[in-house]
Order: sequence, then structure tokens, then C-alpha cells
Amino acid sequence: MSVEKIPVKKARPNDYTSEHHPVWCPGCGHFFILRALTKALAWLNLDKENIGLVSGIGCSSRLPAYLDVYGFHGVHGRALALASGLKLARPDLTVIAAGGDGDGYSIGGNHFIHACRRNMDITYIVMDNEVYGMTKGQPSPTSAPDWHSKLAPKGTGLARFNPMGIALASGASFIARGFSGDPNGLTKILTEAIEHKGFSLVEIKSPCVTFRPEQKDWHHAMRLMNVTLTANPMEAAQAIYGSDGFDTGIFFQADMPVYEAEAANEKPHSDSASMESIEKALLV
Amino acid sequence: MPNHHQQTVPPRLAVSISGSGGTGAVTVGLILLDAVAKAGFYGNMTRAFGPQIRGGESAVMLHFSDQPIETLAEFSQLHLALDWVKFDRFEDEIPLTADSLVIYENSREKPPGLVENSGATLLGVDLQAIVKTIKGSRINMVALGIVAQQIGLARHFIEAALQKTLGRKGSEVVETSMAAVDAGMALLTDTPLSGLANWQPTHQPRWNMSGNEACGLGTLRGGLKFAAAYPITPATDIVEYLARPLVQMGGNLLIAEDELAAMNMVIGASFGGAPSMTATSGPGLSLMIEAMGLAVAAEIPALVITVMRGGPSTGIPTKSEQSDLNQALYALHGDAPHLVIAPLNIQESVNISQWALALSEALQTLVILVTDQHLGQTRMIMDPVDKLPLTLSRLQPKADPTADTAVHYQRYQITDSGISPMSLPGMGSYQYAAEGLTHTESGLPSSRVQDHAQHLHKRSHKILQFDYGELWAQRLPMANAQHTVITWGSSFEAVKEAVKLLNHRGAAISLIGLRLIMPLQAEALAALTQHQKVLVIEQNDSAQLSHYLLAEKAIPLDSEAYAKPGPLLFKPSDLIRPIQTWMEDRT
Amino acid sequence: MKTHPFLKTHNKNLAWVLAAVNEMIEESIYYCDTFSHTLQAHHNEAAAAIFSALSPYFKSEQAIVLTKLPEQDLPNIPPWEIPHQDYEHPANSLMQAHYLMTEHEAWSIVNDIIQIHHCFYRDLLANTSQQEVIDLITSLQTHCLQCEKICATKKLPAKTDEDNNPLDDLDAPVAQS
Repeated sequence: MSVEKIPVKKARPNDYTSEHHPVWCPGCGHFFILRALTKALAWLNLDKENIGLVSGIGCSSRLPAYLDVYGFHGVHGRALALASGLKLARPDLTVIAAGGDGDGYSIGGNHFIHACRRNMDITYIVMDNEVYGMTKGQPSPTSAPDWHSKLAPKGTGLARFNPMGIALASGASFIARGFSGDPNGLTKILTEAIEHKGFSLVEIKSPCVTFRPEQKDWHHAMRLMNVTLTANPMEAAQAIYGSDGFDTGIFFQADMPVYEAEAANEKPHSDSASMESIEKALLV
Repeated sequence: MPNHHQQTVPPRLAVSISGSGGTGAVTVGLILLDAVAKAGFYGNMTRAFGPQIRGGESAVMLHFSDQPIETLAEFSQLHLALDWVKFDRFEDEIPLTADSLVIYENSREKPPGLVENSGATLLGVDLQAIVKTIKGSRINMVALGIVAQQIGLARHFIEAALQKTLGRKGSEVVETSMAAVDAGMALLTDTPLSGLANWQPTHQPRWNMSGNEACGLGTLRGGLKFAAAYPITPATDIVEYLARPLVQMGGNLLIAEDELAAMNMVIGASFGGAPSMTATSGPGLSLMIEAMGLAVAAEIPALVITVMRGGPSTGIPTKSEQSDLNQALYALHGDAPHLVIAPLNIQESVNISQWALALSEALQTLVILVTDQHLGQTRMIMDPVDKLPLTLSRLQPKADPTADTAVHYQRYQITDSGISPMSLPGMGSYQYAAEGLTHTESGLPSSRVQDHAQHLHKRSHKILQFDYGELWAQRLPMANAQHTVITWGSSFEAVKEAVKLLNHRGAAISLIGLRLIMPLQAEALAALTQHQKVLVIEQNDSAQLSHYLLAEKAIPLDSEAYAKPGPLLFKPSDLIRPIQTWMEDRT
Repeated sequence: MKTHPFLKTHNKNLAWVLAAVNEMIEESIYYCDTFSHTLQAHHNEAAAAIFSALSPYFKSEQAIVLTKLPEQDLPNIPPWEIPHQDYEHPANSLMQAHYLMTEHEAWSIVNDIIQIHHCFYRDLLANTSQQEVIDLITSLQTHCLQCEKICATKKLPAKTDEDNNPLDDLDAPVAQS
């Protein structure tokens, strides 16, 4: 279904906010992502009790507390694993995972790769500020090699992790970059991502006002929704590798096999009949 | 075997088979176990392997009786060697004595020194020559015939078992195999071990099952709907067994990218309402520890089955040891009360794993079920196990979303029992965020002194106040006993037999096998042992259970430990002397 | 700023205007409340007070729209739609916020939000001939001008050197994980 033709609905973004207000640093990009997410959920008119929002640890991972949905604030780096278990056990839910660049691409890197590979119907929102904020400003996998920090006074000297390239190579079927300073474009991307059947990576550049105040300039650098959507992985690779990191929009969306609950597709006998046949198989 | 032993235990027969390079020793063992079961008897089978994935040397040890039997044989009465390649690897697992009969394929190699030195009767036969006379046959089938003839197992039981194992390969394969079996049966004339013919067979239905499968079955009976796991020896059989039946029962299995993922997947599925588990062994459990703490803190029901192997580090993946008790008890950071449960033998693994899953649901917390390589991978003929009549389930809030409780739903509400109603996604008006940070009753993160203390207490209270009933231990009290032996897990059956033998000889020793290890029923245990001399028997080097029981003041301070590391399971005879010595010192 | 691909260019009738204006004001109220709260949490009471002070004004601005709503069958406006060419989302100015922001900076940001309203109203007036739209926008503009005046009077008289060099936090940030 095209997201343009969502039937008349009554849900409003504020319906999805919890009684707890975010305490991110004033000016943090994450505020606008939170708002864009509630606007996408409202536009899709999703029932709040049928949404599972899973996060790890970090500034961005505080997200579940701020929404009135079923949330899970888990351990560092494992949001996608937890979300995968939830989605398989409860295919009826809209499952969203969220976190930061350190949580998702460093400590959670293996889960990121395999979540892409499974291509389960999960939307993964990464709020990328190229820094570990909650531990006070250490370089993350997406930090520039020459970014000076206390932990790496001369910069790390390491090339950036390319999340969208990794996602494409690993089998994700929806890959987009958004900018928290473009809430409208971001809302569109999130709406499409949630509607997409399969694993959706939404990589969002989200400035950290405290440890990366220079990221305020992203406002001028980002090119809003300038990317041409393709279902061809070769073209997508070209666009992803050809981008300087400031292009936004949906880079890749394709109809690919989705890992789904096997049980949901079967029509099992009654539990007692199934159990009987399971036990019968044990007989000498 | 000494006479007095035969008076106290049912008739037994110990057979072993070894071979290398895909000669099929394991296949012979599996068919033999099944055929003896079809003949109306009981038995168990353990295996030993070289490090090769395929084609390496392997051995099977079978122990038969007319009663259910879980112990290992004291020595191999009949050993059949398909060849002698690297046989010394099995020196510990296949004890040969002067009472052993060794039949071996003699066209290539002579028996190694350790076999000759054992004093066993040696009988070489040219199996290769027989195979050449039957087109398409294999020497392991000839060996099967020899063993069947030697132990007095009738041909049609072999045929029925062969049909079950090889039938899907076509009738020709079965016919060729039976021709080889017949040739083997015709080879020797005397039948020194034809005990089976004199045993009383049963006609009751029995199960052929490994302990790992027993754990799988128990969790299915407990309502398991989700499993996630990363492959690890010797635990993988559990999830391999579950793969089909779990889907039949409407559940799902997820192959995780690592153990970190597996544990988090379990938590996610359980948060969604599915009774969930994972299975692993020491190294994998180490990786799961952080998320296991999340299950405790966020109060998510989760079952982790850990099948212990030799440790530390990679240790001995294919062999048994009871050395991960400390890990199961103490590895979580912070004050993280949880349950540690262990079955005492293979057969009860069915019920104890059902109980473990039910407890995780009822108490909304982490349950670690601890078994080991022996309990998990030993295959056994057992009487079918009735399902435990448990009524434990997850407490949920009232379904009426208009109720006042929904408006002010507090996921971590402080209650008398410490158990709070847990809503499931899809239940309108009961949304909450599960939280691994210290939190308030509503789940909001908090670092306040009072919230921290209140919820630490809540989580320990809920597992301490719970009535676990009689299943916490297996008690075999002896009248007027002044001595009590305490053990757990796979050591139990051997200790039980040793204690039974000593009691038969006139001693008075009570036996306690612990199933619920955390929370320890310390008061009950202390009451049972307060005027007793206590010996704790366990298979590890550092006396982990003994130290735990002493630390909890569950046993008298002068209690002693008999702790020996793996990887060889205790045999009853290994324990007679240590128990006697302890009793002499302590009388 | 490059033209946004989701720019609304046609069918700007009264119903759409009501819905679009309502969306915009709702957004302003949300951010005023949210930033007021986080500034309070960061103990910048002065800046927090400015955001919370503006919130009621936006609510009364929204009331003007809401009185018209029952008469209209409102269209569903996609949340990504850009209402006019010169539209800027409040996020642009809110990203300039920081927890030690001065009252002057807070008033500037609030004023920017008011300007976003103004800008939209000006664009609507310039591009409509529908009398009912003109009437509505005129009353909204009147309200908006009042807000602007408040900003003008409350805004600190001039930037001080201190404003250019925001107060230092003598303590380093606190590690939380």
C-alpha cells in the first residue's frame, strides 16, 4: 500500500507521547526524530498497543520511555536481537528498534549485520551523531578519522564505518538516510520504512550539541531528499558509495524474502494432538 | 563382579564398540540399544569421540538391564573393536579387566599393549573376509550380529531396529545388512554373556531418548513457544530436537548470530508473551550473562539451559563436568536473584525442565537449568514420564482496559508476593517500557536510594516467598542415620547406587539430591543435616557446591567434600572407598 | 534552501488552510512545551520560562483555528508536506538551543517560531482570493503580531558580551553509561 493513500484517521502525534518528557540536551537532534516518529505513527494510524519499540543503551536509546507504546530499554548494543525475538514471537506487532551509532554499529555490529541478513519486518532507526554522548564524547565508528577527542587526541585515523554500505551488502531491503533538521523529509522516510515489508535501516544524521557543536553546520551541508530511489542493488551501491554523507532520502528499497514466523504460516493441530504425536515419536 | 553386588542391583550387561574412519561403531550402538529395548529391556548409551568431525575414531558404551539404568558400567564385559586405530584414546571410557571379552577384527592390526595388559580374553576374527562374501555389506553389521549372538539377543529384534534406522534407505540395504548380521551371529558358537535370555522382559511402552531431548520435551510440555540458540557442544541437540516439534506446537525457533543475540532474542520473545528458552554450555553462558541480568532486572521470564562440559575456556567440549555451578550462581553482576535448578538424572530431565520453564513464567525471572554432557548426551531407554500437573503461569493484569488499574498501570508494582501483573503487547491501555535501569514501580528510570532498595527487595522476595513444594530435593532418608551424603546433577545416580550398596552392607547413610540450588532451601537443608555428619559429592576440582552450602549455613561447619574434576563420570565403585573413609573418620 | 520535494502547490482552500495552520501551531506548542521541560531539567529556569510563557499564546492562536473546525471537513495533510516555498521548520532554530542558553537566545528562538507562523500567513494572504481564508488569516496575524510585540519587549535590550560567550559550565558533562 502506498503511504500516500492512508485512509482517514483520527490519531494525532501527541497520542503517542508518554507522560515522560525527554531530557536530551536542549538543541539535540533527537528531539526532532522523536517528533517525526510520532507523526509517522499517527499518519499510519497504528494502535499504540500494537507497537513494540526496542532500544539499547545511549542517549538515543532513551526513546522508548518517551512514547506510549510497548517499549523495551535493554542492554547496550542488543536492541536488534531483542527486537528480532519479539517480532518472531509476535508477528502481529509493528516492531521498531532504535539506538545510536555506537550502540548499533560498534557493540551491536554483529547483530546489525545479521538483522539485515534476516530481513525481518523491523524498522531500525539509528540516530547517528558520530560520538558516544552518554559516556562524554568518545569517537564512534562513524566519527571522522581526524576528529580530536580526549580518548583519541590525534583522531582515530580510522576510516568511517559505512552503515548503509554494510546494510546493502548484508541484505537489508530498505536503506535510507535522514536528517533530524529536516523533520518533514524524515517523517516521510520513517513512514515509508515502517510500511516497508522487510528490514528497514533509517540512518539519521542527528547533531550532538554538547560534544559535537560543529554539527550545527550540518544544517547547511545536508541535501534534503535529493536521492533517487532504486530497487537495483548495483545502483544503490553506487549512490551509497558515491555520497559524501550529506545526501538524504531513500537509497534502496526492494521486495526481498522476509524471515517470518514459521508457526504463523502453519495451521497446527490442537496442542494436545501435537503433543501426542511428539511423544509417540519417542516410543521404542 | 563380587557376589554381594549382584544381590543389591538388578542384572546388568556392559558392551562397548569402537572403530575409526567411519566404520560405523555409533550406528551399531544405536541399533543395539533400540533392539534391546524392543526385546523388553532397558539401557543407556554413552559415546566418546576423537576430535575429527567425520571419520575419526569413535566408541559407544552400552549398559543394559531389566530395570531402568542410568549409571555407567564398572567395566566392559564385551568389547568389540572394528579396528584398533587410536584405541588408547578410550582407555578411560572403556575399562577392560580380566573379566572382559574382547572380540576384534584381526585382519590388519594386533591389539595394543593396554588391551593385552588388561588380562581380558582376546578373540580375533576376520570380519573383512566375511564382508567380502556379502556384496555391499559393512563390517559393523557383522559386528552387530556377533554382539547380538553373544548377549543372547534374538534376530527379529535386530531386524526391527534395523528397519527403523535404515528402512528409509530401502529394503535392499536392510536385507544386505541382515545378511551381514546373520553371518556375524553364525560366526561364534559359545554364548558366555547370553544373560538377556534369562532376564524378565517388560511389555510396557518405553521411550528411547537422550537427556537433551528430555529437556526439549519438558519445555514443550511447559508451553514453550520460542527458542533461540547459537550452536555449542554439548547443548545443540536440545534445539535440534526442538526444531520440528516447536513449530508443530505453534512456536518458533531462531538461529542466533551469537549467544549475546540468543539471550536477547529470548527476552524479546518473552516480552511479547511467548514462554521462551535458550540452550548453551559454559562458554556460551558467559556471553549470555549480561542479558541474563536484564531478564532479572526487567522481570522477564526466561529459561536458560546450560549443559556443562569440561572447563575453563574451551575446556573439553565433548565431555562432562559439574564445574559451572559457580557460574550459574554468581556470574551476574549486581544483586541479581534468580533460580538455578538441576535435574538429578536423565529421566527426570523431562519433568524438571517443565518445572523450570513454569517457574520462569510464574516468577517472571531468569531460571538457569543446569545439566551436563553426560545427562544431556546419554541416550536412554526409559519408562514414559507423565506430565507434571503444574498450574503455574504468568500473572497478567485484568483484561478490562477501562479498569482503573489500566489507567495507572504500574508494571513493577510492589505486591505482597513481589510478583506484579505483566501486560503483553496488544493489551490496550497497559503500555509500559521494560527497563534494565533501576526503576520505579511504573518503570521510570531512577537512581534514588529508596527505589533501588525497594526493587532489589521485591525481586529477591518474590523468589524467596514462593512455595516450591517437594521438588526442591530428592530425599532418600535412612532410619537412624548419622551420616548424610548430598550431591547434585549427574553424580546423583552413581552416589545413590554407592550409598545403597553401603547401606545394604550395614551402614546407615541418608542421601539428598539437590534440584533447587538457588534459592537454596537452606533452612530445610539445615534442619535435615543439623545433627548429621555431611559429605558433599560433586564432579569438579574446587568443591563448588560444598562451599556454597557452607556459605549459606545449610550444612554443619564440619561437613566435608569429595570433589573430583571430570571429565569421567563417577562410577558407583569410585565412591565406595571415599564414602567409607569419610565415615571411618567421622564416626 | 532548495525546494523541498513535498511542497504543497495547489488546492489551498479553507479546509486545507485550517488543517495546515493547525498542524503548524500544534508543532510549535509541542516544541515550546518540550524545550521548556528539558531546559527545566537542565536547571535553566530562565530560558525554560520563556518557552513555557509562549505556549499559552500559541494555544490561543490555535483556538482561533479550532473554532472553525467543526464547520469543515478537514483534509488529511501528510506530515511531510511543506506548506509553502519559504517554509522553515522550527527545528532549524531549535537546533541552535543549548542548555546554558541566555534569555536573549531563548527569546530569539521563540521569535523565530513566531516568524515561521507569520511567514506562512503572509504567503497565504498573498496567494488567496478566498474571503474566508483572508478573514481567518487576518485574525491569526493580529494574534501573531501581539506575540511578536511580547518578544520585542521581553527580549533583552541588547546583546552583551556575555551573550556572545555563553557561561561556561564549570563541571564537565556527566557520564551516564
